[in-house]
Amino acid sequence: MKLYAYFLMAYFSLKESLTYWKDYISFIIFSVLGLVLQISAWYALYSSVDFAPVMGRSYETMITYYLIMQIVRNFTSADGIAGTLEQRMSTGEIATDMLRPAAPRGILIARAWGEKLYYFIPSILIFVGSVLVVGGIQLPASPGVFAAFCVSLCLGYLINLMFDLVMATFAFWFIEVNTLRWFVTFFVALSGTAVPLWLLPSWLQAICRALPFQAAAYVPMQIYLGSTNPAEILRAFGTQIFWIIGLFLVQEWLWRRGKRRIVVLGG
Amino acid sequence: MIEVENLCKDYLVKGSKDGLFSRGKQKKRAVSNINFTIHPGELVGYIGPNGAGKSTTIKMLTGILLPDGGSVRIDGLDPFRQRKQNCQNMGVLFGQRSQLWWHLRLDDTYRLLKHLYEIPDEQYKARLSVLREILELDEFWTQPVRQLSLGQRMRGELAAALLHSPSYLYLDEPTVGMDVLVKERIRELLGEINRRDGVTILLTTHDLEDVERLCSRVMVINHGNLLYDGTMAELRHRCPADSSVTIDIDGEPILPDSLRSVKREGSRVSFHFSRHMGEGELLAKVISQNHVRDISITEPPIEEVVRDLYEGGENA
Repeated sequence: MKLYAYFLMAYFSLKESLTYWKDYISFIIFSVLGLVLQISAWYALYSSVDFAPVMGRSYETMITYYLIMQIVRNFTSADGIAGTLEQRMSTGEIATDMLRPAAPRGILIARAWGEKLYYFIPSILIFVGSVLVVGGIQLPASPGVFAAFCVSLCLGYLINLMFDLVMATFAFWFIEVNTLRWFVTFFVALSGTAVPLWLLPSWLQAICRALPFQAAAYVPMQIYLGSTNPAEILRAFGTQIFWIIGLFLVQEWLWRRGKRRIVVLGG
Repeated sequence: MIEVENLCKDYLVKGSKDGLFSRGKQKKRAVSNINFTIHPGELVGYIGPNGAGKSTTIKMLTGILLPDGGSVRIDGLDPFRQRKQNCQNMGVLFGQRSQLWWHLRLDDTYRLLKHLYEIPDEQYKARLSVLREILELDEFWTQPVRQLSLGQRMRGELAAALLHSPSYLYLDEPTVGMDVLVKERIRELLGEINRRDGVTILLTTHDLEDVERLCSRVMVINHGNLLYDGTMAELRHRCPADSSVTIDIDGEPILPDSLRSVKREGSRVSFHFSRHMGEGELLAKVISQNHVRDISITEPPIEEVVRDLYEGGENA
C-alpha cells in the first residue's frame, strides 16, 4: 500500500538521523539550559511576592506552562520542511523525489517526520525528568479537556505544516530560503512558546492574534490550562481550522506555480 | 514509444551584478527545437559535450522539468502533467546522484520502492532474485550503502531503477568515474537488460566507448541542437576524419606526391587517408604500384569523429 511507503520513509529518515546521535548532545544541553533559566527566573519573581498569583496565574501554572510548552512546541513544529526542500533543491536531490510515482510534498512531510521523531524522543525524556525535578505539574481539569488539548495539538501541527509548506514553496523562486525563515522565526516567538501571551501588552496581543502562530501553540496551551470554557474551545478549533484551510489554499496555489520553475542544480 | 517534437527549454542566467539592486538576466536556450522518436526496444546513445543539453532533455523526458516549447509523449503520456503515471513505467539512473538511502542497506531502499511502485509480493520476490543474480548484489547485500564501492553502488542503483520492471530506462552518465573493468561489466549488464526484457534505453555519456559497444543508434547534441541521429557506422562515414594506413612493402616504395603525413620506418610506410575526399583511388594506386606484403587500416578513433561534429556543428 502506498501510505505504508510514506511510513517507511519517515522510519528510514529517523533511522538515518540516528546515525548522527551526537546531535542529541547539543539539543539536550540547549533544551535543559533553556528550562533551567526560565524556571529559575520565575522562581525568583514568585518568591519575591511569597508565591502569590501574578496577573492571576499561580507559580504552578507558570511552570506547567513552560514544561507543557516544550512538548507542544516539539510536537507542532514543522520547520524541517522548508529547510529540507531548500536543501534538496540546492543539491538537486529534488530530482530523485520527482522520479517516483509519489507526491513530492508527501515525501517531504514523511522525511520531516523522521527528523521530528528524532528530536521528540529526547524531549519526552527531558519533560519527564523536569516534572520529577520540579515535583509535579498541574493536570488538565478533566479527561474531556485533555482530549480537547490533544485535538488542538494536532490542529496546531497542521497549521505549522501548512505554513512551512508555504515557506517551502519560496525555494522555487529563491534558492536561499533560510534567511526568510530566520526572519519568520522572529514572528514565531509571538506564538506563545517564549512568553505566555497574557504577559504581553494588549496591542502586542492583538498583533499575535492576527497571526497564525499563536493558534498553533498558545491555543492548545490555553485549553490545557483550562482557561477556556466549552464554547470557547469550539471557537478555538474554528480559528485553528480557519488557518489550516487558508494556509492550505495559499501553499497549493504557490506550489502549482512554483513547480513549473524547478531548476535542477548540479548536473 | 518516445516522441519528441520541437522540444525547447530555456534557462535564465543571472548576469553579473552591475549595480546594487539591478541584476541583468539573460535567457539561455539549453535545448532548441529537438525532434526524435525512439521505438520500443531500442538502445540509443545520447552524446554531446558538457552543457550541450543532454541532461536537460532527460529531465524533460522524465517529467522533472516543464518544456518551454514543443512536446514530449511517452506512450502517449505527457511526462510533466501525467508525471506519476509516467514514473510508474520508467527507471532512471543518474550517475552523479544516488537514489539509495545512504546509511541504510540496499534491501531497505528496495522494500520502500516495492511499496512506492505497489509491486505485488510475488512479482517483487521474483524480480529481486533475478536482479540479485545478474547484478551480483549478494556480496554486499547487508552493508550500508555508504560503504559500497562505486561499481557496487552503481549495480545497486541499477537494481533500484529496474525493480518495478519499467519499459523505459534513462541513464545519465552511468559509467562516470568507473575503472575500465567495472565499466565493461556495467555495459554488459545494460546490453543484457536491453536484450532480455526488451527495455528501451536512452543513455547519455562522455565515454564514447559506451556508445560504440552498446548502441545501435546515436544522437549527438551540441548547444541545444541535435546535430546527428543515426547509426554509429553512418556517423563515421559522414565525418571526414582520417584513417591511418600502414603498409609493408618489398623493395623501394613508389609513392604519389599527394599522400599526406607519410612516415617511413624501414620497409613499413604509414600515411593518412580519408575515403571521403576521393582518396580511395589514391590508396588503390599505392597498392597497385608497389609490392605490398601486408596492409592495415585503422579507423579514426570515434572521439575524433565526434569532435569534428561538435566543432563543425555550430554552423551546420
